[in-house]
Amino acid sequence: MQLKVGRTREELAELAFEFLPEEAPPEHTNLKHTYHKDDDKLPYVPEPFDYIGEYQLEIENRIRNLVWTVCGDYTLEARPDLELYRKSPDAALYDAVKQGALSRYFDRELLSTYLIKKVYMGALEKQLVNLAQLCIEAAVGRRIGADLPGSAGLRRKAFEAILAIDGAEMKQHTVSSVKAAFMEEELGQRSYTDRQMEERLSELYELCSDGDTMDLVAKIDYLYNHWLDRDFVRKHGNLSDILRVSFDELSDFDWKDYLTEEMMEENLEDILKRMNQEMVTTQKLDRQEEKEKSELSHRKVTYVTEEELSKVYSYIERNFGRTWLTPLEEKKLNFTHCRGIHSDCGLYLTHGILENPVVINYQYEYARKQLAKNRYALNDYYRVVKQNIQQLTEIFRKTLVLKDEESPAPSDYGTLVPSRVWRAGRVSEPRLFVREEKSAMRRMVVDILIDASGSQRPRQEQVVLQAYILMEALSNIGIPHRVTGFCTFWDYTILQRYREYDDDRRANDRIFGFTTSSNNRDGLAVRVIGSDLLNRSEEKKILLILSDGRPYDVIANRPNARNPQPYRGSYAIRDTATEIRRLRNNGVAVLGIFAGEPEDLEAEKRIFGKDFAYIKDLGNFCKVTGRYLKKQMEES
Amino acid sequence: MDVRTMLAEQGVSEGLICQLEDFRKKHPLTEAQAAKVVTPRMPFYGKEILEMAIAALLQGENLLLTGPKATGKNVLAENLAWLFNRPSYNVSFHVNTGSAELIGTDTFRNNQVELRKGTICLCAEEGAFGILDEINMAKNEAVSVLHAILDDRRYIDIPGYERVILSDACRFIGTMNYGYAGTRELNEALVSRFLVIEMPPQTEATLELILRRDFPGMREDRLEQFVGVFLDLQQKAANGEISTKALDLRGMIAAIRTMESGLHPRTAMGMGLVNKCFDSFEKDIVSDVVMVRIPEEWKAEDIFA
Repeated sequence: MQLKVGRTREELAELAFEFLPEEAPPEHTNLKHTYHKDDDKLPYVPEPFDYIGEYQLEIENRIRNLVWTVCGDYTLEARPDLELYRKSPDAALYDAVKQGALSRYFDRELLSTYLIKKVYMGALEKQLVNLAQLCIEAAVGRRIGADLPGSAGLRRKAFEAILAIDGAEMKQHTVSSVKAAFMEEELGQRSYTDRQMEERLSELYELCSDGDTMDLVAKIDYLYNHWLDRDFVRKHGNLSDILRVSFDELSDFDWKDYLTEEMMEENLEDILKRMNQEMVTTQKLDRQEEKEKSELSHRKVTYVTEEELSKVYSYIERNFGRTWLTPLEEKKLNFTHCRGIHSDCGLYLTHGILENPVVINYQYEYARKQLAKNRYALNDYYRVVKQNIQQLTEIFRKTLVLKDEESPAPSDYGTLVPSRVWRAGRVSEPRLFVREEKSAMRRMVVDILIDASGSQRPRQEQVVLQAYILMEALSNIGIPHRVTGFCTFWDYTILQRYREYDDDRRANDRIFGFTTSSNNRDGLAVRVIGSDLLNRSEEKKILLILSDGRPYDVIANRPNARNPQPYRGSYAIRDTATEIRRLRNNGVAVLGIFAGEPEDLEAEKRIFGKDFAYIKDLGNFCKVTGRYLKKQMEES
Repeated sequence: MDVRTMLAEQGVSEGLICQLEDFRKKHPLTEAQAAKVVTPRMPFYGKEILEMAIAALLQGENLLLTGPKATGKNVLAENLAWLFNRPSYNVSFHVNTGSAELIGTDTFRNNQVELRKGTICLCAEEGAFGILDEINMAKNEAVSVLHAILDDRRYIDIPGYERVILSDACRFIGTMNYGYAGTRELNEALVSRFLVIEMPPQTEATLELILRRDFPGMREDRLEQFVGVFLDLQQKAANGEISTKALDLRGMIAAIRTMESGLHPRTAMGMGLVNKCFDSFEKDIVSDVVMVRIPEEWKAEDIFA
């Protein structure tokens, strides 16, 4: 076969196929590449870039913000529907507007409670929710359009998208067909012909006028009894019977049949929440839940009883040493940082078990052994470490000396230079003075964050030496720096402080007490360290993170814990990356120093983006990090 | 615009207005000074803030205005200088702002070395208002100068020259953005030399007044939506959902102005607000706010009746 230049893409694809060994089986689809579904002749179609998956948090945030914009209440818990966004961004955004509008005009709690009660009394959940969606649409759609004129356009686009995707399917069912007809009516493209539909629509349109939550509830109830189940009142009771149902009755009811598989731990409150969410959806487009389900069924979550939970704290004290925070400070810290993904996590700050042990136990002995091991490592590598420190110090010093120079410039004002006075009157621009132009030298502060999780164990001595080199070099030139190790045990993220910003260089020795254990919740650790760093007065702030690119925290969920997912895989990577990006946005220079396994390099790249260094060998550690820090100093 | 009418319109107490008029009579302007009195771009709306500021300045105190972006700190400072009928000098602080720039340094003029006066020195002599913009960005050297001029002595010693006495009418108004990335907190000694006014966020009523004043012909329902956009953004910034980049009243007014020339409202809001965010996700959030308020169908000519 001859190769020619200027082929089309198709030709190239074909060509690539021909080069493939014959026996390549089409099932080889589990890695980075996948065969095209329709045509298994085509080889290696790379997976399309999953924009939505990649930027899940940002998109969720956008949707949430839209809800808040409309309702004005920033405490409202909005639940973004990413799957809907995947199908039609307009529909998802309109749902957000509607969620906000519902809270703006109506009492959402009252409405969802009514729905639950109606289900309790014997209504069919799916149909009821579907009907409620329709009524809510009718009640808020035009109203919000009048208050926020821009939402009307979005509403139209959303309707168009939904009709295009689901229109044909919707006409099969009672409520959905009214819904479709309603959307068409609103779009001005009426297609129904029968009288019944016309009646139903006119009943629905009565809702479009202003009314309160009870009017809406009454309407939903009336329509359910008329359209779907004419015998409901006779069999189960009327609206006032429904509203009389007490919460106790609801709690005692066995909701098992209404729970989907993944919600085994749900209780009444969760059903309420789900109801609250689903009733606002314009139309539930069929979702691809398989992926999520498989993820969920593989969840390795250990459930911990309340009793065990109370032991955790003292256990942590015994394993990691006492904290230096007062209970109040600790509470405040948790309150500030453990939010969102990390809600239900705790933070524990300590100087380590060697500094502040509770009892002499196995952990204490282990830490002492590791201390000795770390020191041995220093002895073994003493020459390399010393060279590194020297070179790094030298790099810093040169850069700083260069920056520190003031450049005196001849000027028309400033300090008089006697030797230039003769120029007065003889030269057109005499410049008898000199003025010191200070370069914009800014002060610097460095934070070093070390992954102290179990996955670092094979190289903990290496990590200690790297940190030690940095600490010594920074101490040599007097840049304030702080060193913290982090790991996560149960729901506590333990931050072990080896050195405070302004400590004496003697404190550097404490790094040899570094030990590794448990999991790591990188995002939370970065958030805590970053917030302290942002509060420093120095203008140039640098965060160095020594990690192995594997955020991993499969935490032991408490009963009813709100933690949505164990912290690992792409979810964790994304969260960590978001935290780092947030710091960069605030002007902190973040460098990832990676010393892990090559297969985790990809993850590390995704977390740190542009600035990260791969240290294969301690010998060139100073060169790699030195280059980065030098750049930062020069920029400042 | 007349001082008395402007203040009376806003309900500022009669006593303060009288005292202000006394002050103006007591400190007449020379012709050269009168030329330096700047008429503000827009009046400041807010009775309480005006009363606080006027009372403090009448008593000879210096003011520090703190608050987030777009709360009208500089507008207030300009307004005060104009109300008190004083010329004003603006100082913004950067790395090279030191005593030479603030107080003065040697220069060679008319065949002799003489003092090249700095802005603070000019304020002191002319009894002007010194507006110290972003005072929290001041470096150590500038801070030490500020300490000296802001305390009760009211004079500046310049080595080699005569002492400069601060005129009775001279006041300093510092402004600082609070909680703005890259700015430092002010040190206590400096803060203690000021009375501090925390600027409140814009209210619906003020925004309406401001927009109504600039665009008397705008339709009522349109105006309401523009005010809504700004309030929504302000709330988002206060909740930390977006940065303050898009919170730009000047930008929105400029955008509405381009609508007067016939630009499509959505496009104009893009230029004035949305495109000021350089983070694409923040941009989405801001453009959503604009999207729900300003429909695509609006034409430039619909905005103005």
